[in-house]
Amino acid sequence: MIIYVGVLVVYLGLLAAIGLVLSRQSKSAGDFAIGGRSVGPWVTALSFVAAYYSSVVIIGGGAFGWKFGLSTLWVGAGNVLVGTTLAWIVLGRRIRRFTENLDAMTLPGFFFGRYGSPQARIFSAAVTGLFLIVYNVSVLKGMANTFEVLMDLAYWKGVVISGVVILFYTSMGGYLAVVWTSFVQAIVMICALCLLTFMSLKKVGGMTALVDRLNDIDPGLVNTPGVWGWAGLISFTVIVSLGTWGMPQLLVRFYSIKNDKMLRMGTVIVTLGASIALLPYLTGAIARVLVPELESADQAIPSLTALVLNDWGGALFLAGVVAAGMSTFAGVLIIISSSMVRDVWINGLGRTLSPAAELKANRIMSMAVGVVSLLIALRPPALVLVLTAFAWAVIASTNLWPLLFGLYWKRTSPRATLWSMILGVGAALIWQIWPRTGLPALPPSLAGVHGFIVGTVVGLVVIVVGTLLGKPASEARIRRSWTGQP
Amino acid sequence: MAPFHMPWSTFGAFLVLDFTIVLAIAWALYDRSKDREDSE
Repeated sequence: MIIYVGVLVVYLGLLAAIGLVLSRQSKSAGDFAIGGRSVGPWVTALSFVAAYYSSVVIIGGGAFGWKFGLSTLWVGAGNVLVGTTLAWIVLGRRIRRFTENLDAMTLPGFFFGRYGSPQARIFSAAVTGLFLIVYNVSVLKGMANTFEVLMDLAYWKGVVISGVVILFYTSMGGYLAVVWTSFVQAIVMICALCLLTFMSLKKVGGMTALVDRLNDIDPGLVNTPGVWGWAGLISFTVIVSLGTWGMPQLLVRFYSIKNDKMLRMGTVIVTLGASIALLPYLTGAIARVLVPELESADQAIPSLTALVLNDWGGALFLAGVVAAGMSTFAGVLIIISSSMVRDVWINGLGRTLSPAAELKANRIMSMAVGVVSLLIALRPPALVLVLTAFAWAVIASTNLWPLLFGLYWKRTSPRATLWSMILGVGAALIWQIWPRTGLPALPPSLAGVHGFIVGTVVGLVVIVVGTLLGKPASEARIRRSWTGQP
Repeated sequence: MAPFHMPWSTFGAFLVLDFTIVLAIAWALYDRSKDREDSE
């Protein structure tokens, strides 16, 4: 236990020190929100990996591997191909150029600049802000649960310790502190996952022995789609891979990178870093062989850790899981605060703030949002727990098509964009809430379809049909988005 | 049967990962050459 505490104290102290050092470099709201567009490829790429893979992914991915076996490796492969590499190739350069041309620091700010629709900006800011807080609660809860299992620490203590450290370095150092701490956290995560995979593969007797032993338990744990089935495997892979294309805390990495050359290097680095996505699923499948009797699949990774790693390894793994949660939480905090201050307070309500006052407002807002998330996470109401299951889906359904079409189709209609957001989110929410309404149940073949799929299909149809029937944004807006000229 | 006694349908996930890494490197090289052509 002393080793666990020692490693964590050193690690959390290092993160707080980074926040303190970088607080001197955050001199404006632009520095606070996007690091003054000055971040290099290694830090941008690895902080993207850290923000993408939260502790929920590591623990939850292990649980999926334990339950469904090796077919879950496809989820990790989808995360790397669609969620990371294609996102960087298709979105990266255009988002960087467009946000620079439009002087936008947030996704709602981009929507206003590109389409000239204040309603789209407010709707996107409100939905994203609300559901990112819900998402943050789930991340904080995941971290506290890990402390509980691995260190026998009371749940509330886990929430307070991780929450306070994140609040400190985020509100002090802003985006630069978030990306630099995420960079450190990504390295810790990568080391921790590689160590756990190596040691557990050694324990099980190697890859071939793993496959043979899983086959003995159930051939469905080795085949694809195996015990999961195509519907579950494909829809889950699409949600957690394509969903990233609409997540502001990941897209902000593209605004902040220094130039196109850095983006190119970053694409290769991020692909290599993101390859760890397969490891939680693989180690989950190993856990099925080594720790077959569990009360809950969520215990697969913590139990495997306790079995194959010594105290030092266990402490590193705990630091890795906490790192995954903290980097995601901090990234989300910056997005909500800059969006609330710039999109809602300044541009939405028409208030004027000096640059110094805007920076101060960002700091206060990130602190306030963090405290609210922390208080909710201490005792999450039942409704919040229900919403955490599809917060990701709602945010992605709101932003995905307006962003993608806005970058590639000049004709995209502002009105169609707004309705695509509203109806996409509405469809996703109604679909998810339907089973709890007491209305007649959906046919079994449809009931397994996730709300994200429904929301994105509805949003896609609305934006395409609406654009074909409606009017594009003004010439001036299109010219400014593409060329930067007024 | 694929390596490690795995069915190809499952081993394919590793092949997709390899393909993705090659894709990222190929895109970076292509993009660099395109940038050079544009600047000349």
